[in-house]
Amino acid sequence: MSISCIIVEDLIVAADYLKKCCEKSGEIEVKAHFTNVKEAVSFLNENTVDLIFLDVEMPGDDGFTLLDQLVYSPKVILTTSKTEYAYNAFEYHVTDFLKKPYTYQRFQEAINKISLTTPDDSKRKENNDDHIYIKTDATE
Amino acid sequence: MTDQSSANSFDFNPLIHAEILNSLYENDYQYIEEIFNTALTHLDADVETMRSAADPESLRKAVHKIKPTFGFLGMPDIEQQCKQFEDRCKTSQSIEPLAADRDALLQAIKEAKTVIEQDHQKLIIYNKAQA
Repeated sequence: MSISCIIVEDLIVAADYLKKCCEKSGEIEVKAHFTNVKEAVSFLNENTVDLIFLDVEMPGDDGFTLLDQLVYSPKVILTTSKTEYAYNAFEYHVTDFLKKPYTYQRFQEAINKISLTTPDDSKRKENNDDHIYIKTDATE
Repeated sequence: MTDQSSANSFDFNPLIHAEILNSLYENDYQYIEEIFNTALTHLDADVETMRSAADPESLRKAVHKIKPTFGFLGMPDIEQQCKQFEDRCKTSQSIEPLAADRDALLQAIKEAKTVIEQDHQKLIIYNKAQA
């Protein structure tokens, strides 16, 4: 199974590492890499992909602005160094959230979720599902 | 990324957490050399963006961008310094109160870059010898 993707990431070392993970997986084909939302949206308006690896903070618009502009619903994996965006990740129904730097194993776990996600999951945005589950490390 | 036996392991500078590099790159020293090269190629531009930032939000964004680089380089201490400074930027109304800490962080990044440059050169030699 080949999953087509784009990478939207302004930190080159992070983008290179992600490309290497995709190559190693043998499942993910990187169609393009963009360092800003504007260029990524232009590409997505003309091309369809199965998956977007999306950084949040970039020059210009942020990653969530890209999601707001999408005319179709590819799977999305957020890649960021800030866990504060986890709640937004739930709001946008992203498939997974990779906190940089992540191991290849963690990357593979995220990719496995792509395979497990059913087509109906993309319609969850339309439902009034007000439940979220947040795992914490709090101990008593 | 390929496995290499521990008998052929590379000795990184103690300021680099080798176990982090091994967890990310699985002892693939060729690939670590590439990562170091990529980071060094872009580091100066990212540092200059930090240095020239004229307001706290611009400075915060510049630090936010550069921070994960040190995670990928196995330098979590610098990464943590970046995070703490990024948090400080959020609460500052102007650049002046941040100047001293910004300069201290820039100095720490400069020293980290020297370490990476030295280990990058050693990796080039090491990888050639292994080929």
